[in-house]
Amino acid sequence: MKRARVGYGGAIHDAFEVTDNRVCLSDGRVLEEAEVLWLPPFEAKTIFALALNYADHAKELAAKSSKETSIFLKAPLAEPIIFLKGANTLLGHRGFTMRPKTAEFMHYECELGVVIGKSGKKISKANALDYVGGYTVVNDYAIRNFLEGYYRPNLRVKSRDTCTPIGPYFVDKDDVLDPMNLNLTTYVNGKLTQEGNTIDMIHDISSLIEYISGIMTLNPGDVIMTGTPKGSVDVFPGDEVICEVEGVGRLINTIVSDWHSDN
Amino acid sequence: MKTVLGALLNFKGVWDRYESRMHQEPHNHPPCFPVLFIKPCNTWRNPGDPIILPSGVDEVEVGGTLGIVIGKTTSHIQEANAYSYIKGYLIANDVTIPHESILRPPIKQKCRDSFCPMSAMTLSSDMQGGGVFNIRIFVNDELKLQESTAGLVRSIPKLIADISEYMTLKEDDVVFIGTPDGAPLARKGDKVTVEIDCLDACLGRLTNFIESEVPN
Repeated sequence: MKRARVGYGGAIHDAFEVTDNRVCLSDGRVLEEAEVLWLPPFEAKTIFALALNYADHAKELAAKSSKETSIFLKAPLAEPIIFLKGANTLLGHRGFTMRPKTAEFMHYECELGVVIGKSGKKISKANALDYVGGYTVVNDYAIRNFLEGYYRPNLRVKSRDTCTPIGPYFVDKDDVLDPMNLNLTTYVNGKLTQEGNTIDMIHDISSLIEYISGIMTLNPGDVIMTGTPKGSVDVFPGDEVICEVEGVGRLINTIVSDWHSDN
Repeated sequence: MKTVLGALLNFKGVWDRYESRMHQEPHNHPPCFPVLFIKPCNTWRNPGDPIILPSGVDEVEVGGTLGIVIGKTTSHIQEANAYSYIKGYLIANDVTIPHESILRPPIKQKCRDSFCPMSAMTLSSDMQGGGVFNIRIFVNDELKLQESTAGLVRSIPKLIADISEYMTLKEDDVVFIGTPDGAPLARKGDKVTVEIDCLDACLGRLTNFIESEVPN
């Protein structure tokens, strides 16, 4: 089942997908997708994200900064580069993401989100998928010119308000037959700009669960954003960005201008 | 769920120790914005709870720090008004595995289970506010480090203002001001205590014991 949390008629509801463009509220009302207000599909606990978990994306970034080539290309092969995000940054489907005035390069990152379903520590790779509750789509926006070389990627790049759209749905694990073979695509204003497949992850889902749970306990509601393939393009106010993970969901987001005054 | 985050390189002594490296690769220049990290919920513990050394780790830094507790959900706080968004303070121990590199997020070093004991909150209305706090760190009741918050790189209101420029801070979120330079080390069996007071209030003491991981 594909589950959502939506606002409609003055209340927040649990809902599920009935057909491609319609949702059914828990009280039985069936509505068009665009009629409801989409919230993040579950209450996230710890939010893990991966830097450079697709080799082609790492190469793409390295090409933009020759000085840092070795950082980009060697580090993630040895072990995953994990960072955490705050709950402030999550946003539902069809939400608005702000491009700050001082952004010079802001790009989306279409990713498969793996949601943990039961607690575990020191989970072996062989059993790792038993700890998955389901999947979702994530757009892990980054403002690249806000990178600073301390404990990077730093929170100012990756934990900004509005900058992590997630959803539309939480998809039960059993509905995704092979999470390691899903196409990822991003369209900006209808034009295909990013394309990849989860099969190309450097560290696959089971390895990530083994690695993280070797450090700390994973809990239900934790989400692992598994990284993005190449195809990073600067986006601007008014752009419609659609990130799709095959069989998991199609996450729509619109970039808006910075609404803060200069003073 | 609340967020617990902390600042790094926010005590002058820590900054000075890294200063020469800040101009070299891969850092290239000193940080222009607060350097932050998140303490996720698996790390949170109460006073008296054991701090568990992961297998293969013999000693940890006792990262005594002051936690600022947010009172009102808000963003874009002005430095001049920042104290009105603070409802209280708590004592925390930002337990950390010693490490040299400051390039990547300190997940292995700071996010282990039990690595963040926190005290109950003292309401800021019980204090005059704006004061300087004194942090004392004890290992087995011996005073190992004493530092005041007078020498912060970013003051409490400045830190809150800078973070809230891009992160909405919710009621009950906690922001650590950073740990002083020279955090003492502790080993299995040690009793670790953090004590914080200011001119007109004593936050009290936070005590925990270090234990080793029970093998599975």
